[in-house]
Amino acid sequence: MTPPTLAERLLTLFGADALTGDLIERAPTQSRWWLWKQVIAVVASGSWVTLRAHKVVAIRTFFVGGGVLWLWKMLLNAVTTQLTVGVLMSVKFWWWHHIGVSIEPLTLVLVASAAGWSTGRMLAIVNGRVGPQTAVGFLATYLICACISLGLFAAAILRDPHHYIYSEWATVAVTVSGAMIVLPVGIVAGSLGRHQKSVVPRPPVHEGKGGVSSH
Amino acid sequence: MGREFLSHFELLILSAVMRLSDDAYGVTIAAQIERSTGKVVIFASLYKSLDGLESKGLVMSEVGEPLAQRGGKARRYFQVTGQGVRAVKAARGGLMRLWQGVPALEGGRT
Repeated sequence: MTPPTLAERLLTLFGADALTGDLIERAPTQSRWWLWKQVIAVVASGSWVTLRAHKVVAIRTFFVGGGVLWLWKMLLNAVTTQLTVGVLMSVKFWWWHHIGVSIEPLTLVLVASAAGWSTGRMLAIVNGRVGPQTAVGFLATYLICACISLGLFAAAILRDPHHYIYSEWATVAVTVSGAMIVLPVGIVAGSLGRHQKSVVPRPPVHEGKGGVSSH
Repeated sequence: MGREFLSHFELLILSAVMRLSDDAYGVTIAAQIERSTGKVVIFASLYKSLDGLESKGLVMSEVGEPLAQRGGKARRYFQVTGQGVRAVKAARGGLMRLWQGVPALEGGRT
């Protein structure tokens, strides 16, 4: 199969020229699954190499990314509090009366999208050309933390199944999908964009083999 | 090379590059390893190992000219250095001595 545009873009951003060229050359005789497995490996490997080569950038990434997400969490807490017992209660009732569904899930999805996108964008801005690689490192760390939180949350529910009443499960489901899907997608979308190739120093490669098209 | 051991994958790569001689680049090296082992090669791992072997002085590489069928990207051709050949010979010798007289490897026990 011919590599899709997204796959080519990711390879160009995260992989060396020769590696990208090899995958483009080999892809027509391979399956879609094979290609995406290779692309994911290139993204993971490229990000790991970048984070190891730029330790200061890596540390800055976790502080900046974590800080932006923390600010969004504070904002979400404030908004949900105001929706429940504050000045936004009238908006909530108006919404319920006219639209017929709860406003909280929509708020969560919107905040998760905005939080993800702004985190990715901020990482791209502060880390310059190293942005996409550090964003992937941050995303991996975030997903590990999210999975641990989810595991602890599931354990708490199993210990006390009546902790959440049935009507709250929709909000729980939206929160989980927002945290695990919408926010990570936002981080990736925000961190891509105007970025160029990685600036990771690679081993010196000698120029030569002119006219190798006959190979 | 010093006292460092070659990993199994590094040994496969060096052997494939020696076998391919002038036509050893990512695609052909991966194909050679896949043919001989029956396992799928992850190109990112292949290049990570090749970079490692190059920094140890066991292989050297040259970049060819950009080709249209590769999206305008050039091939990177690899060649095993004298030090690399000695490392493979040493590894082969060590493995042969280790395998010699092992009943499970001689069809006795499995």
